[in-house]
Amino acid sequence: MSDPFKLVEKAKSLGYACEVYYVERWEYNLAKEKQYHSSNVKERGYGVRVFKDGKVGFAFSTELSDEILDRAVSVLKVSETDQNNEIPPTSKPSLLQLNRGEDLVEPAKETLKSLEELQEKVNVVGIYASATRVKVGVVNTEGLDVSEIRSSAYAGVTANYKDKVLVTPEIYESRSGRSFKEIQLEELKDTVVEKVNITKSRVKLQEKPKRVILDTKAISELFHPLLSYSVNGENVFRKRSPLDLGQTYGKITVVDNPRDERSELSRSFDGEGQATSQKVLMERGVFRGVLTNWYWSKKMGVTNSASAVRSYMSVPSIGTSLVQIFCDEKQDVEDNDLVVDQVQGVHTSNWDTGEFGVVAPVAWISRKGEKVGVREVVLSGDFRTLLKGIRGETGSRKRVWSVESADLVIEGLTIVT
Amino acid sequence: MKFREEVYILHELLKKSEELGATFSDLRLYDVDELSLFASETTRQVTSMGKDKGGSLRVLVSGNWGYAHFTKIDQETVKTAVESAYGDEKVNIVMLPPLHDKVVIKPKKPLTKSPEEIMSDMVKLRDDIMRADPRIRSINVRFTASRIHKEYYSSEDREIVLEYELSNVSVRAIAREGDVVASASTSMATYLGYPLEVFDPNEIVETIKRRIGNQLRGKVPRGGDAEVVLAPDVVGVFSHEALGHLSEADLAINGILGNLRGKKIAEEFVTVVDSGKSEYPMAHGVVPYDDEGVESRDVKIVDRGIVSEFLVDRYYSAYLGERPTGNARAEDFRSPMLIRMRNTYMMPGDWNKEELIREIKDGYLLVSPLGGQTSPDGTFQFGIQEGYRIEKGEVTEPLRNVGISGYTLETLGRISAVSKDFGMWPGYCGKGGQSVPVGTGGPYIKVKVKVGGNE
Repeated sequence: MSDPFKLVEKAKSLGYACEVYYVERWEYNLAKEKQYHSSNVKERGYGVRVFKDGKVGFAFSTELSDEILDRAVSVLKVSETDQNNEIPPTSKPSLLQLNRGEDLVEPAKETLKSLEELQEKVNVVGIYASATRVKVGVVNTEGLDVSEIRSSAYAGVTANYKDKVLVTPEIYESRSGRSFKEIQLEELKDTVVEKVNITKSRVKLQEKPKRVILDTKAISELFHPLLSYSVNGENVFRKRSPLDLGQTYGKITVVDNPRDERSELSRSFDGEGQATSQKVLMERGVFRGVLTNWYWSKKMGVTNSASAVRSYMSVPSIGTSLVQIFCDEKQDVEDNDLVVDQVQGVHTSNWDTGEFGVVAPVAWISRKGEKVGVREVVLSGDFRTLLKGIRGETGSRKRVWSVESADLVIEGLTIVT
Repeated sequence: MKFREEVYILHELLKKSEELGATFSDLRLYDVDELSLFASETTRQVTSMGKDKGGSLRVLVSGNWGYAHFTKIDQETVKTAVESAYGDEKVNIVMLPPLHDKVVIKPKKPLTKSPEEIMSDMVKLRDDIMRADPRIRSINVRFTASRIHKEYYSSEDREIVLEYELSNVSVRAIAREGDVVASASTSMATYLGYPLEVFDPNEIVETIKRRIGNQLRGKVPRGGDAEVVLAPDVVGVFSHEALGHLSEADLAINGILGNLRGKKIAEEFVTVVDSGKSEYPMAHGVVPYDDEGVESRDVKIVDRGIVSEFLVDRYYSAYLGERPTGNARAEDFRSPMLIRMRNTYMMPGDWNKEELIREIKDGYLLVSPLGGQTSPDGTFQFGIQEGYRIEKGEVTEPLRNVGISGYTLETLGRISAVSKDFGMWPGYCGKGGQSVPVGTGGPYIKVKVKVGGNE
């Protein structure tokens, strides 16, 4: 058996609804830390779900054979009986241009070489360039047959200042896109140098700032995972989200946009083959919509947002794509505003209550237009307070990994110095 | 044996690598049977079940590394690895003598149950927990089991086969009382077989019940420096996060420990070890040989207060002139090897727990962590899910929303007492986008740290 279609047909002939999610992935990685690393990854994998009488079974393998189907069927009985365990319908997504189709190996090497120039200016801990090209497809017994090729490119730097007596925090800075041409390397290098210089001499805060500014990178590190958990339909349904649908939390608008071709998180269809579209999650502070996969949309009785994310090794869960944040109110950076660029310890947050306490190793205070690095800052609070405390946005819009936003000016968070 | 019927072909591939210019090559093969089950208050299902089978060929060509990770091996794999070699031709590694070995770790309570029977046990556990405290409205119970078969071949004529099983039961529960929301988690993981037979499931029920109760009535502590007693679970995470990562040679050379070998950073009663094997059931950082085919040995990161050794792979072993330690690990066949910890713990001392608590007039007893993170500049941070206030030497009210942070060197130097009591816990360590099972442990210690709260 070497064909997902034949597997689906076989399942159908046995009386099962069946879905095959398949992946053919190529990845090329270059890294220079103390030594250079170069690697090629080629892998194929298949995830098979079967449905019958309100039950669902799943199995995966790196080789396609009848055995996967047999194993998926064998664990049907483990599932609860739930009418919402139903195979997703056929869907005809409008395909995005997510594969730039160009060579990615030589540009990766050129990117690494270009980033090596930073070694003359800062202590470079590591530089990274990688590229992927992935063919993803879903077929099922309902007639669904979608596939597309997605490419992505990534450039990253880890750097700090180090001499015999001083070691400053490592700064992680990266840019990504669908191809290396879409990455602004000079801007990345300038940013690294500027931030290393800011952290070179850090002061201890003598008084607690009233306002915190999360820049786009900090939003992607702290705000995004809290939001992602809170707008997940399963968590909302099960009352595990710190947010309640229909309630107002501040003033920002948040959109999940899987249709932005520049973002490597975009997709024409989700992990269940369903056509993607933009979804408004928060509208001027009002929690309007949740992200779902097929099961949770049926369970909640809402339109499916087609936000199923998965690997071939697991059943679909729910995840964001590119999160876009908008705020009508504009703010200026004021003296003594604490600008946070990088946080650590986000994974220690209590997602269910939205409470967090993070260290900000890369942060600075604004003093007469200058950026003065600060040390020993712990930021704590909860997601609701954070949302309600947003006073406005400042600076230009940037896209950092999973987030596109300007910087956010926030009041009401606890700062321990 | 899963791959050894093809062993002749595997050696041919290594030989072919040499013909194409490799001065060293190694091949690691993985065949892992995975099973994951999930039960909540609304659903139950198999979330993953299958065979993750593949390998990785690594070649050293003209002083440069080349890797090919694959799910299907053929002659083209060798070409891909050799052609991907890239660098400044300066890679030098420790070579090892020929060795043929097979290590099979047999579980004491083998998992013989079907997925249906395991799910039945998980549902019972779920129901027991929900009955234990009616305020619990939402619960996730997860079971994972991996039956791991690894093979390693190198051009040095090393052939190593490893077989072992890891399994884990983890629970996360949410409770509400009025406007107060509480959540608590616990897990039991082991290499000794089915966790619900190796351990007492009632301990899971009682732990969740206690933590939920504490969280619902707990108070947020004042922020700032405080005297604390850290329990073994927290000391383990501190040893791992705050110190262990800094001793990983790839991080150490750019971090604060890099220049401190041989220097005293703590009192004589502070010793921290990383080991690939431990008798403790939850020490699931099982690494008899690492993924570079290197024998595992114990590493004393801090030996009686003095920075002693770093965790190394073959490259850093040569670079630092340190005997190989067996710390190169990869999450799976598709991931590169990184220097990783195994079971990291602080050695016990002379005090007992009660004596440490009696020493504190106004401080905290911090019992269970929520993971943590460190930076090579020596700052660490982690959350606490179970903690109590200490007043006049007595443990009093529970806490909620606590985090601790500080500077590792400063904190190690502030450890003023270490207990005889000792424990090990399971964890999963993230680095470079990979996650591997680790054990963390230690005694109770008395120390001063920065406590982060909401007030």
